[in-house]
Amino acid sequence: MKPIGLEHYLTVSFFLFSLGIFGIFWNRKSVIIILMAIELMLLAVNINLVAFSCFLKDLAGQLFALFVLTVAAAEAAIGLAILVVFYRNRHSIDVQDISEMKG
Amino acid sequence: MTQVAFYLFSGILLFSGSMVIFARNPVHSVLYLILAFFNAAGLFILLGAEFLAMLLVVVYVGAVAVLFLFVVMMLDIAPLKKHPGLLRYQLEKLSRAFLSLMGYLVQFFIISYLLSSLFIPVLDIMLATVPTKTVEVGCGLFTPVLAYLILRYLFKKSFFQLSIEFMKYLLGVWMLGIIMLAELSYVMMHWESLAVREGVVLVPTPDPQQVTNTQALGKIIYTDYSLLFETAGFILLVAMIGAIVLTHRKRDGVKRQNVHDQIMRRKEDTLKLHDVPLGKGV
Amino acid sequence: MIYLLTIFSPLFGFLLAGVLGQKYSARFSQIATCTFMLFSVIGAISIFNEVALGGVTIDIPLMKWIEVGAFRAQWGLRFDTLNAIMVMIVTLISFLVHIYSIGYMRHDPCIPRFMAYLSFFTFMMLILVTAYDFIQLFFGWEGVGLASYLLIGFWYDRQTANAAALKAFIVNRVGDLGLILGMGAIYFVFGTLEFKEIFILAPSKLNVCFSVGGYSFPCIEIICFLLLIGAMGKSAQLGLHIWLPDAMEGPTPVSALIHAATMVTAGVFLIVKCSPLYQHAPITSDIMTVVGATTAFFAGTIALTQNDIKRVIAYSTCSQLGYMFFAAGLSAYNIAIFHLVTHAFFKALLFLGAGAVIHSMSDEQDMRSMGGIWRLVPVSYLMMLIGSIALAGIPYFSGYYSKDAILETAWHASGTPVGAYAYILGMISTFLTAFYSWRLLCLTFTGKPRANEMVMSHVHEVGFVMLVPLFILASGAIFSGYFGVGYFSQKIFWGNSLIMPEEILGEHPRLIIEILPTLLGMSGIALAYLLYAWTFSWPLFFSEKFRFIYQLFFHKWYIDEFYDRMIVSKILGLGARFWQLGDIKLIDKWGPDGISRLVLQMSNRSSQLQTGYLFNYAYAMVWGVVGLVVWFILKSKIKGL
Repeated sequence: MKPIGLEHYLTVSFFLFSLGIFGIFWNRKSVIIILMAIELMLLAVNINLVAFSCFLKDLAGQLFALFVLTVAAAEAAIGLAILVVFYRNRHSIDVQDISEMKG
Repeated sequence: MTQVAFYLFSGILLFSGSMVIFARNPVHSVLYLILAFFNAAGLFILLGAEFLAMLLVVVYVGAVAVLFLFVVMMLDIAPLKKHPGLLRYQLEKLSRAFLSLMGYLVQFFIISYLLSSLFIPVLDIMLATVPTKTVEVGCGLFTPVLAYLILRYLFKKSFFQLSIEFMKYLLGVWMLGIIMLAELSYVMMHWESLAVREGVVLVPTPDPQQVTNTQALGKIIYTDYSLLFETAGFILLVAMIGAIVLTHRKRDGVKRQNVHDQIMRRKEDTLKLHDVPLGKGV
Repeated sequence: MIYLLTIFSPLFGFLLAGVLGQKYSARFSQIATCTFMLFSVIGAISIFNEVALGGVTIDIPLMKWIEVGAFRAQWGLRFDTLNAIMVMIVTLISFLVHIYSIGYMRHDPCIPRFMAYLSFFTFMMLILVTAYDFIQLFFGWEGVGLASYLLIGFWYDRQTANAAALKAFIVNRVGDLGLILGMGAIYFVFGTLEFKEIFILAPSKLNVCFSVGGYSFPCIEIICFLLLIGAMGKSAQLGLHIWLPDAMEGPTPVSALIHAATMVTAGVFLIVKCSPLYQHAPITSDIMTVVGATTAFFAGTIALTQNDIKRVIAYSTCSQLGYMFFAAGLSAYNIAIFHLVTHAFFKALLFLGAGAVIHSMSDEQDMRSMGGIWRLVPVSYLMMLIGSIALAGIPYFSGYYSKDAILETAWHASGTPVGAYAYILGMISTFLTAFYSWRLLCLTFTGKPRANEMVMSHVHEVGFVMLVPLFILASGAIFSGYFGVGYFSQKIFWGNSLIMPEEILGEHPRLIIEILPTLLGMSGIALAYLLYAWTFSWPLFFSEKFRFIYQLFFHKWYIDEFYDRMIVSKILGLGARFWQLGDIKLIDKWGPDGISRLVLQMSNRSSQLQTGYLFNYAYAMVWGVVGLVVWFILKSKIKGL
């Protein structure tokens, strides 16, 4: 088998990222799935950064991944808060129901 | 050894990532997300970034995913019901839409070709009077437009409507995936790493035998990048305030303390001394 | 200078009243237009003095109009005897009508517009009669047509008035086609449109012919025939007369000015002006005679049965115009003009008098609801009496001189079949004229009052401002014949302005022939008195007995219905089809409506892109990113992308 190189990690990151993207518009269920897909995308980016950091022997990648983690956490919190308020007002978080911008 | 670990971790990671999207019960989705995080942490450890792996587990799994779980439970989302024969039905619709679109396109091209061959006798006259470029452009534009109009009246449905139907059955999404895959394979095939690495490195990693990862990170966070660290803290503060502000609501019937009123209370407003004579009430 | 003042004063009056009339009071526009008309009258009298009595011809070129290739047209004024007489008639009658309108239209809300239109009409008529060449004549011709349209349809909120105005304009247009073709033929043959040159060149073109389909016609005949058609349209001869009775929808002063004295005489003026041409066109002259005589008879028969006071007078105008035409057809151009002048006076008098009667009967126009008012409005009665006497040709009043002259000419020509036809019909028309004039007088003024109490209580004599024009016209009606006959028959008087008939050699008519018109007139009057003043049931009896003839006359010989069926409804149908199919279905659908429909459709479809679903938007974004990446990849591979 080929030794695990950078490209393997990058491929994994790519697939995870595209899974996240597809999760945004390929779900028929609720808005929470979208938020979870965003988390997946951020995770993929983290993997990418850390892989490059290790293979280039550069710590800046991990540092940056740290900050990405922070921001992801903050954004998840706010996103969920908005979701909760939205649910209070609309009593539904089905994706098909959110179409007020139609037309 | 590392390869086995790698394939295991990444395999489960990708599997649970897809299950996050495709699971019917949203609680299951969150649980799969947690599994994904764990596996990603494993990948990080394989890469030698153990601090980050711990951070992933503590912050992401311990806080963010738990938050997700809270919200999912609170919002009481109903799981999707399973449709019998759903896959077959969707495949049928899909193939019908695909075939009709292909048919449309094929007819469009055939009619365009026929129309342009009709134009050939006229072409000589046109070339004599009008510059060549105009004739080419005109014919090039004119026949498809004409073909489109003809097909429009035959099909009684415009290409636009057909393509909307097309989109409805998610065929476009498949095509998107295929294109992305093609891109990836192309990049992979022509992968060239950077030859010179010295000038690119921003913060060189110290020898892992001497300095642990955590130590190395700590050395640079609190010195060179301390401002960024502070900013990260501010971001978290803002997030916290934001979350509270968004979800805070006043409720009727809840008893509260108004500290200001409590402090500013005066004797005159609250006490009243009565001289009550003997034998009589107040 | 005085020439310009005469012609252009009405224009200034029109501009003042038209532009400033709304700002200032109605009195202002009335005074302004009447003052300018007064200048015109004074100028006209002095011109008449100088040109007609003094025997001078004045030519004033004003401005170049068209210069295209070899074709020149010039604005200019020409005053010879014929023009000077017309100018004087037009300005005088117009001035009197302006004064009269001050009183008649007092209660109308749109006085400035009315006075402005009257002045505009006068200006156009003056341009017509002082024309230098055919183009200027045509300009005036169209201008008076326009003014007639505006004035007939003055009360534009009335459906009938609008229809009548359109009818007048359109029928005029049909005649104008002949005029335009005639002008084209003149230019083609003569190479110029100026009167002077045409008349000089006329004798040399006698042999030029147009050939059509194997037949060749002498060009002068064709030209004269086409001009005749134009004149027939304007002067309401048989066939194109249908607009004249309907034109009575306009206010009475309009009828007096336009449809009695001036506009309808433009046709006669045209023919007399082109008398050098008509001299060489015997066939057309014969046609003209026949048409004129038939019109005279035909209009007279219709006037017997009409019930509206203004319609009777309108048909009477039509009849008298027929007289003028057949006088011109018999080459007695000077007599035709003489009749024109006397007719202008007494017809205007009749119309204005009828207007006075209508005014006092509270706008009642139907004679069946009048009667017995001669004691209440004696002055109006006297005026109408004078007018009718002049019209009927009673000796020593003006109509006698002119009408007798015409009939005498006809008698002299009665050797030919055309002349005999004209003479007989002319005689019968005299009888009819007298009869219906007195029918009008009796029905309106004598007998028992047939109007209701309220109307009768309001009957009063009209004010001074309306009576003074009547007096002046009456004096014209009485004296113009007596004084004019001397001038109008002398060659010196006319000079070069028209062709005089050769001296009639031959037997002098017998006495009985000379007094026959007068006898016929008297008997007509007597019959009318008999039927309408003494007994009242005889007219009814006659109309029942001769039911078919009565219906024929009453319905104007069904010509209107005939035209409507044959021509008008077909054209309206064609127009409607063009409108509904061609315009709405075709042009609107593909043009403006089509474009707006297209825009709507496109925008509808574009708005379908905004589904409102977030994931659709994200999907589109992803496609964009993928596209960019693909492009970058391809760019590095393929040169020139």
